[in-house]
Amino acid sequence: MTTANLIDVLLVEDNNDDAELTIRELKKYHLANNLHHAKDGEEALKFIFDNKDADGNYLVKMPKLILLDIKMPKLNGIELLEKLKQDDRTKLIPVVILTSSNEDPDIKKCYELGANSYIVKPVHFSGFAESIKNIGLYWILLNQSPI
Amino acid sequence: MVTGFNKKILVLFAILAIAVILAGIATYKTQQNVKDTEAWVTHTDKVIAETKEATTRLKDIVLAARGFVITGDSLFLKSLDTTKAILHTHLQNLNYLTAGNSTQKAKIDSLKKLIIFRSNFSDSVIQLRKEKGFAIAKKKFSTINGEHYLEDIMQLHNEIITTENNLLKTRELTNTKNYQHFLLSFYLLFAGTLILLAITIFIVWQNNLMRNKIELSLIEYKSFFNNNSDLCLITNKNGYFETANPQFEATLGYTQKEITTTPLVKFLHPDDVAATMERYKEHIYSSNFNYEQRFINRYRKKDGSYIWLEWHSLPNLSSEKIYSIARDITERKQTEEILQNTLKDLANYKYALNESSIIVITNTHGNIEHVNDNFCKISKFSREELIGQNMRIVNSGYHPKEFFTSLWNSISKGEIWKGEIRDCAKDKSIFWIYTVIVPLQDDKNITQQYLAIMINFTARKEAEFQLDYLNKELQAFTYSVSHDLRAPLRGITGFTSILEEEYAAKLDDEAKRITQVIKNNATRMGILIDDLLAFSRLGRQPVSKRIFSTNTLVKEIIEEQTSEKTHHSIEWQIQTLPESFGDISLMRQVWINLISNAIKYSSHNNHPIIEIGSFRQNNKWVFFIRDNGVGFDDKYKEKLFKVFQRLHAANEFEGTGIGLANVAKIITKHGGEVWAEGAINKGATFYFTIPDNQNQII
Repeated sequence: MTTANLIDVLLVEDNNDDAELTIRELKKYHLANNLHHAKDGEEALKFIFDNKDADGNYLVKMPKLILLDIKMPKLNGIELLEKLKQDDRTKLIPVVILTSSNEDPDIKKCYELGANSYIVKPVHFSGFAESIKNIGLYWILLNQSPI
Repeated sequence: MVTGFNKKILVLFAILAIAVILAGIATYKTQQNVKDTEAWVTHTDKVIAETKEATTRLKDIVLAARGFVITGDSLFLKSLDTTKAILHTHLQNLNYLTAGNSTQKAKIDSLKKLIIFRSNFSDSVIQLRKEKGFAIAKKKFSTINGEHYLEDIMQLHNEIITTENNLLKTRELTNTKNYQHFLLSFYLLFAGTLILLAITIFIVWQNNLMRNKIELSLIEYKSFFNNNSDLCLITNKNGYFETANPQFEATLGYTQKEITTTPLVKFLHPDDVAATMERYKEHIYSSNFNYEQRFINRYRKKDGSYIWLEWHSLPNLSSEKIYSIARDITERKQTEEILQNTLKDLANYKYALNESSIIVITNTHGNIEHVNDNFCKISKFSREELIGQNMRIVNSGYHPKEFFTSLWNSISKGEIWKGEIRDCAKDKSIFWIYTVIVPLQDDKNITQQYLAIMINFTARKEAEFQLDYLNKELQAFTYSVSHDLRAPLRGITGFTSILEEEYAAKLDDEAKRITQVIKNNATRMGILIDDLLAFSRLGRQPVSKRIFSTNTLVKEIIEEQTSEKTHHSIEWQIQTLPESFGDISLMRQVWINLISNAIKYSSHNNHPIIEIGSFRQNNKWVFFIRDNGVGFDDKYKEKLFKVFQRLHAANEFEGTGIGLANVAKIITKHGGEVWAEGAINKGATFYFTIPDNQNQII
């Protein structure tokens, strides 16, 4: 099995506006150079697992960080998290859950499944931007990845 | 027995007395006869003597006459007259003595005639001698006549004496016989007297014996009468008590004199007079009534109070008296009354319980012994189908095995079990019953039965399920709202910020002000959404109470609230507060809200004063927080605690109008109350109570 370490951040977010704001903020600190945006869980799965090299072998893409929204169509964030953490190839990838509300009943479940962090997206932009900046700097630059 | 014996004795005694009297009479008569006989003996002697005397005198006369005739000497005639007189007297005596005996009298008469005749012959001889001399006289004298008369006289004389002697003999014989009779009578009399004496002594002895017995039994019975703890009475036919025992006096408080001189009707309770007097008349006048029938009535005591008496009476028809024994049953009666009332209460409770609840009584194995109509109705089984069946007949299979194990563990230990049970009726319909199972124990505290009191709350349970469902829906809705409403807001603020940052050079001041307004509004809307979510979350959050220090909590909050901004000018007046019993995180929100409000609304004052304290009212602690801020219009105070209701403009004091609604919600959830007092520019005071620990039903 070969791994392809082509990207730093995989952003799984169905809301384009949120995605754009996130990408913009990460770009300010040059953290979005190798960023892929998947619109939902299914797309993210495909992005990670459904790759072949020139020889026709399957490749697993291993981002340094996955920013994962919970509420998404098709495969939602929790289901995706579950799949990633159950798979030996992907279970070590740090996953930060981004959610709109602290009302979320799934916070506990996310931690149980192995989420590394859980961030409530603030409504006001400066807070949001600050959060994204901190996440990016910590997980991509500071954090020593196990991979 | 005694009467019969006495009668016999009396009869015997009478017979003997009559015999003694008869013997006495006989003795008397015999004695009279003896006396008579003796008189007759004397009489006979007299008759004989008189007869002899008379013949002797006649002989004297004859001899005198003879002497004169022979001698002529008159000396012979000297005592002749005297002798004649004596003879005459004797003859008269004889006449008198024989007056009662005709035979003897005839003989005496004949003797008298002959004697007088002979006497007269002598006289005639004497006369002849005197006148004619001796010869003639001798001649005359020598005639046979003279001698013949004398012989007759002597014969008659002898006859009379013989007769009289015979008569005497007969009479003496009679006398002896009479004497023997007398002796017999006397002996009989003596014997009879002796027997009478013996009988009398016997009777007296017997009587004495009997009297002693009677006296002894009288003493015994009297001691029963006097020492009886029951009331004993003898009532006469005039409606008075003749005698009452000391217990009667003691119980009712009357003297013996009062008891015996007052008509019995005066002692009775007015309501009992008719029945008592009817009973009394039955006793006195009627011979056929039920002696065993106890009778109860009320008697008035000297002090005017009444006591209950239970009577057992026996009439004596011959003496027309009633012998009664009464027992003071007032206490029993009162106990009975209490018991009656208790029974009535119990019956009422039972009725009420039966009407209001579903009742099942089972044995210790849970087998049904009794069900009321309500249980039949809800279970749709008939009573006959249920009796004897185990309670499992209505088990719906909903509760796990442990549920019933725990239930049985409780009730088999004699504990009351309370809980909600889902049961299944005959037609498989489901019903929920709130059940209280009470183990019914005997006097040795051994459970004999289980009483299940149940309330049908199927409808409420269904509503609860409905509510639960709605709550879940609401939660989903809230979740959705918090996600979906917040994302666009982030978009608005985010892109407005980008506009400000990246296109700053192209925006003039007005445009910059407008972008700021957009951001402010979006932010405010985000806060509103957060507050609303927090408020709804409060409703679902369970309250977990414990005792905590109010002083510490308040102190911490004041430090937090004053450190971030410049509130150092505030004058705090904080009393020592009692401990609270509540959910500390919820109560923290209450205090945060109230303290931050006080800071906020007094911030316009140059010298803000905030006072926090407590006082005791209606057995509860009342906490209050008072400020000297802008206050509020008292007529809108009801709106204070409503969601999104504000009494001040948003630009005057920031806020969403949800803080006090949260306060009210939390206090209500604790079972307390919250209210406020205030006036415009006169400050505001907020009060709240939460129940004490001991009053709390958890």
